[in-house]
Amino acid sequence: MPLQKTDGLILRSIPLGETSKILTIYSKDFGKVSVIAKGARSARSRYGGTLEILNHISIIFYYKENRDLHSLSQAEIIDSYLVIKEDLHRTALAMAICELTNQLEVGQEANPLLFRLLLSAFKTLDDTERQPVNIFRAFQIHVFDLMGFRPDFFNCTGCGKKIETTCSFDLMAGGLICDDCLDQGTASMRLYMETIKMLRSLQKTHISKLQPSAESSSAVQQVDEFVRVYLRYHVDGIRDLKALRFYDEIE
Amino acid sequence: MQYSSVSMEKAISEFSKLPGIGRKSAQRLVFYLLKTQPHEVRSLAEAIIAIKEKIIFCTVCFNITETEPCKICTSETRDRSVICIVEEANDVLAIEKTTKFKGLYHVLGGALSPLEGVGPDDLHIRELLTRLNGTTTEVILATNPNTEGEATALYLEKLIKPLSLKMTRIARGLPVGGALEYADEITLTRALEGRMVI
Ligand SMILES: [Zn+2]
Ligand SMILES: [Zn+2]
Repeated sequence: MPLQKTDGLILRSIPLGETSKILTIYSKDFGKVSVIAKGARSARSRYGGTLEILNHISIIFYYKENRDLHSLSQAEIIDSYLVIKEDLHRTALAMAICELTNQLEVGQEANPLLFRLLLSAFKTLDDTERQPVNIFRAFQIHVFDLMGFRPDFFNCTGCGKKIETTCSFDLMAGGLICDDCLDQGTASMRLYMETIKMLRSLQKTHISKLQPSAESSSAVQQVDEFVRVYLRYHVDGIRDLKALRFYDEIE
Repeated sequence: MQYSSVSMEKAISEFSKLPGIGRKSAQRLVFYLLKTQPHEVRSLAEAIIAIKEKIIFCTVCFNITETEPCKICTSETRDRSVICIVEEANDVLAIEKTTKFKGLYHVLGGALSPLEGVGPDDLHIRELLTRLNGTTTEVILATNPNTEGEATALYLEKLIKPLSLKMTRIARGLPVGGALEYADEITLTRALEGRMVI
C-alpha cells in the first residue's frame, strides 16, 4: 500500500458510519479518486474544515491498486473559496460544476486539462468582481473540447461555408449545418444567429476573462438547451443536475 | 455462517440493518441478549416499539416529543421572543444540555444539500416563516458549520431579512481544548470573523 501525494478538488462527501466520510476528489495526478476519511465528522477531528466539499486540498493517501476506495492519511487546505461559500448562487454553480465532473466517466486517469479547467472555474467563481452566471455555461462548453467532441460553431460541416445566419446544428457531426446541406433525417437542433454568436464567444474566451452576457434571454435559454442536449448526445448516462435545479429555485 | 435457529438468523439480520452495525457486531449483540435476563430484554423491546408508537414531531417546532405541542413550545418560563433554528432534533438536545438558552427552537429536519437533491421544500422552512409573524424579535441561526449548514444559513438569512428581526449566527471557530497552530484556514478565518471585544 504505497503512500501517494496529490492535490484535488472535493466534489462530493458522503457520511460513513458515525464519524467518517467518503470523499470524491478530482485530483491532479489520479483523476477522480474516492478516499475514506476516518473520524472526519467528529467535532474534535484533526481535519477541522479541511475536508468540506468545494475545497481544494493537498492529500497524502494510501493508494490501493485496482481498488475504488483508498484511505486518506493527511490533508491540508490549498484554497477554501470562501467567496463562493458566502454566496448562495456561487455555491450552487460550484456544486453544479462538481456534480457534472462527477458524472463524466473520466475514471482513474489524470486529465491535467480538465483539472486546470476546474480550478480556473472555481477561481473565477471565487472573485466578487466576476459575474458568476456564465461561468458554468463556459465550463460545460470547454468540457466538450476536453472530452474530444469540440463543437464547430463557425462553418457548415457539409460544405464548409461560413455560417452567418440562423441554422441547424448536426449533433452527430458536432457542427453547424447550412440549410442547403441539411438532411431531413439528421438529429439536429435549430439555433438563432444570436445563440451561435454567444456559443462562439463562450468557446473562445478563457473562463477567467468572461464578461456578463448582453444576449437576449431567448438566446441564453437556447445556449443552455444546446449544452444540455449536446452533452447527453455524447456522454451516456448524464442525469439532470440537482444543483442546477436548486440554482433555479433560488433565482 | 448460518445459524440453525431461525430466530437467531432473523435477529442478526434485523440488527445488521442498523447504521454502523455489520453482521459481526449484530452477532455479538444477539449473543449478549441471549444471556441477558428476560425482563431486561423485554424492556429493550418495549423501548424500541415506543419509538414508533409514542414519539411524534411537534407540529410547531418539529422537535421530537410525546406531547403535542412539545414541552418547550408550551413552557411558561421560556422566552417566546427568541427562536433558535437548528438542523436536527439532536441539536436541540445538545443546546439544552448547556442550559444557557431559554428561548424556543425550530428544527429544520436537515440542511440544504443541492448535491444530494435536498431543497428548501424538503425542510420545515415554510412552517418557520409562518411562525415568525407573531411574538418573535430575534432569530438565531444554529445550523452546522459545514458547507451545507452555511448554505442553509445563507438561504434563511435572505428569507428572514425583509422581516427586520434581529438575526444572529452562532460563533464558528476554534474548538475549546484545541491548538491554534493545528487549525485549518477556514476554522481560523471563521474564528477571526467571530472575534469579540473584551
Ligand atoms: Zn452547407
Ligand atoms: Zn415544539
